[in-house]
Amino acid sequence: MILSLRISATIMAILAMVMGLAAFLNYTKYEQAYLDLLQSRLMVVGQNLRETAETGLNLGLTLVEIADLQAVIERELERDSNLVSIEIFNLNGQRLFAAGELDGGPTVAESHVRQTRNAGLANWRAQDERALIVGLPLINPFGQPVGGLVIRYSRSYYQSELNAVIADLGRSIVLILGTVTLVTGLLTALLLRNFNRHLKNLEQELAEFTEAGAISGRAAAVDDEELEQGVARFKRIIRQALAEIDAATGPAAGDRDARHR
Amino acid sequence: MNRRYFRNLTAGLLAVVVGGMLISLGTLSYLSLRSFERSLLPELELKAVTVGTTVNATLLRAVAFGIDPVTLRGVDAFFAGIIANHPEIVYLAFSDASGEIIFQQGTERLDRTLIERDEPMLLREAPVDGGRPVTTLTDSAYDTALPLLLDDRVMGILHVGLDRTHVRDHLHEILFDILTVLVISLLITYELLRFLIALRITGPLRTIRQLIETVEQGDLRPRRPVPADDRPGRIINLLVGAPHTVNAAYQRVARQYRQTAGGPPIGAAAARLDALHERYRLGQSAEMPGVRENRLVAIRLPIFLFFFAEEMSRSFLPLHIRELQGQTPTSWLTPEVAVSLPIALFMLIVALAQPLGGVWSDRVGRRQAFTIGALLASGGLVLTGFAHGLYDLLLWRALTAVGYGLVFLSCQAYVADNTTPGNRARGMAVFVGGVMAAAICGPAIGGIIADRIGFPLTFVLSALLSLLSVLVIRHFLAEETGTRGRSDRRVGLRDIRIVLANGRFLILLILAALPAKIALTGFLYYLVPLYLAHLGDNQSTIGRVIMAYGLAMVLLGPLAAALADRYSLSRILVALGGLLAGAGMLGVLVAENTWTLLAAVVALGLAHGLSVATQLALIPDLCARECEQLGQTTVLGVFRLFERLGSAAGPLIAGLLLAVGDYAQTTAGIGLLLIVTALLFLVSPLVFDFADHERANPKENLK
Repeated sequence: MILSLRISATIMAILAMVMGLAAFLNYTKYEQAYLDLLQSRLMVVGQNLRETAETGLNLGLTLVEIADLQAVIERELERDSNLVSIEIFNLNGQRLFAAGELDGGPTVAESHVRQTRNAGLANWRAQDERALIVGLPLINPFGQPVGGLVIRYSRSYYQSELNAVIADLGRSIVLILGTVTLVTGLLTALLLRNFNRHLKNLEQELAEFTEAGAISGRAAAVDDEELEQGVARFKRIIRQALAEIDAATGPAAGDRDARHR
Repeated sequence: MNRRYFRNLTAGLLAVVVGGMLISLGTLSYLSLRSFERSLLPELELKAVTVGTTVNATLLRAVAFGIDPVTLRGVDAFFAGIIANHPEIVYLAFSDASGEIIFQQGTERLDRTLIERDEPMLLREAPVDGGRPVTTLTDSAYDTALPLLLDDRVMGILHVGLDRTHVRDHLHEILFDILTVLVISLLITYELLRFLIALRITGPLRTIRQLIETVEQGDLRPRRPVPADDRPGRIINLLVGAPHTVNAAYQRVARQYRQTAGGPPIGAAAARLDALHERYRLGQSAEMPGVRENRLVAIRLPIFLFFFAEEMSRSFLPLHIRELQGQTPTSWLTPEVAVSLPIALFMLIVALAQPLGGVWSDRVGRRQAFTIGALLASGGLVLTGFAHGLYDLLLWRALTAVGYGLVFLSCQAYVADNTTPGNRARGMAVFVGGVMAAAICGPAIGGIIADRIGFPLTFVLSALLSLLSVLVIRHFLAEETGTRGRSDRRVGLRDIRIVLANGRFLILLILAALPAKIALTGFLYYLVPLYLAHLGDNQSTIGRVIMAYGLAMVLLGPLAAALADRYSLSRILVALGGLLAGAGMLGVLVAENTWTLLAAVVALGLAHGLSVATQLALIPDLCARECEQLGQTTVLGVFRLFERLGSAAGPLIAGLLLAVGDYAQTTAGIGLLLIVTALLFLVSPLVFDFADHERANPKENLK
């Protein structure tokens, strides 16, 4: 492979690695920012529902007695088509109000109950294969959790947004790499031009010198390059050695020996 | 094409890479930002609408009771609470039906002309379209206007302002990460370019020059051709081909003469042929010149890759161990000591693997020993990443340590094989340079990656890099012949007894070398990651702080060596190193934060830059008689063996201190140890005659 090509390829490999890493860092930050933003919006939705539920609790109702909750969560679900489901449950996991795509059965997922219990008075966030999840506790007037509220949001919508960004980043990287490859390749070739020219001349000269085994007589093209001067001396010694071998057993060996000396 | 030409060529290529990198990263950052803003804007708008709807619903409850919005109290405070809970919202403003703002919070960034320009239109159209929110881009914010409707009557308009720089601010948070990647990439680029230029340009050119020189000296011995896959290779083969032609001509002439004469060459012709044979050394095969230097070049990249892989987990290994220890607690050990065990075990096995593995490396060859060591280390790294508890983790760290030890010793032995006493220091600089470059790059990149993909996958990545080093060494390093069994004499028990009988050696070991190693492994490898995590720093920051050690050491090391040589300051520099490192660590007693820990790490790096090489330089002076008797390599071998045992003790000591104190006390405890031992080392000449020149001249012995 041509030397400049090797060096350019190495430089490009490094640039590709650096850009890949930088793109990866940017992307993970974006993903985090997007997830935070989306989940914080869901939290706002959840907080509104929670306030509605807790207003009822403050009036002395039990969760199951707050009849308008079903209508409120259905209305909320209609506002955003990417909301998968909203569920309100008591601490036993019994589903009290729910809307959207639900797993069968009268109880919510065990993990929701566990996370609500573990979080105490705090909100929590989670993800599963199908949805992004936010959970909020429902607190009675005495500050005790009496149940929870879980909102599930379509993961496919979220993923499609991420995929679009990945594709965008990919296109950017290809575009930049393509351009930089071209420029870098040219600059590298330019930097190595002198070196390559010298080597090319040297190779040509040596190839002619040793062509077909005939170490023959073209005079060395000596210029101010130390290497080429060395080659000239190299050629002279090789020629001299061959001549001496030739002369060693010839009829006028003695005369030629004298000449060489 | 002299040395200067190649320096300029390397600098030129580096400039191309740096320029390319800066332009690429700048353009990528700009395009990423645009893409992210495009993607996040709809979500930001949704958030604004959701928050705005909630605010309007609250206001509507009051308005629905017939209260005039102007008379509402506490709305500004309500707005302030919402802004505090949602960092992307910069202002909230509510204007009444006449378009006058009556409640506002954070509205320094609200564009008033927007209200004057759009408000009448919004008031007019809101009853028609049901109060559809309208988002407008202003100079400093995305303004979302939400009309408040009561029975199709517009009661006012809520403006929710979203920070325009929100996305940019998020990306700024990774600025340090990007800069770290850039710096490390430049170091890696430098390593690769050096390797490539040495392998493809300067190495072959050296061979070309030396081939010419050997012929000039009348050496026409035939040499084996090299793979001619590029021009320098073809030129070398042409240069090798010419002496081959001469040798062939000689053989032909000698054979013809024999046939003509009907027997062996006789008389004057025979004498002339013999003279030519002698003069040009015809017929005896020879090694290609420059091969050994080129072999040294070839080892640098695999060294860098392997140690880079190993260093990647430096910033999070104690945290990984602590997680595993938490899952399967040990009843017989405090958690702090339990976390230190795998690190200590690793160091201990590395220390012991070297003398034991050396013999085996001599037998199988360096390339094979490197390959097997790196394969073992790769396996160990993957298994470390997926360990279930402390006990199996200990096993996997032991496996990794065996591999690490084998690679370490085979690299050292390879350098020794391919150098002479005269150029061994330069050869070792190739090895140390590769290891140090890896020590700078590995922890920072490892930390950044672990932050994103977690510890187990980062270990897998490390293992892959380690495997890559195997591929590189198999590709670029031919199996050496004739070097097996040539490594230096092994350290034996008798050698240890002789060297330990020297009080000066013991002083250097106990008061300088061991504390330095304890600080390295106990403080830097064990304590710093745990301490920084305790202070709330993420993996990327921990990696960067640990990287500072290597940078400080590399920057000061050469200067310290020059000072020590010029002014005979070795002993002072060693003590100064201890005092500096100790003082740095005591800094945590003044303020306990990331910056003081960074200062302590930098101080340790500077201290080791001052003292580590200087300690080695003191050995021939302190142990002149032992050097004369056993050889300097053996005395240094004993020193290194005990140093490594100190490395194994470091994490255990730090773990024990942490079990009885807190992070600051433990750090200060190690710092105090360094200061006390450094002071004792400084005054030790009052007790012992430190110079040993009179007993023997070590430099003479080394020749």
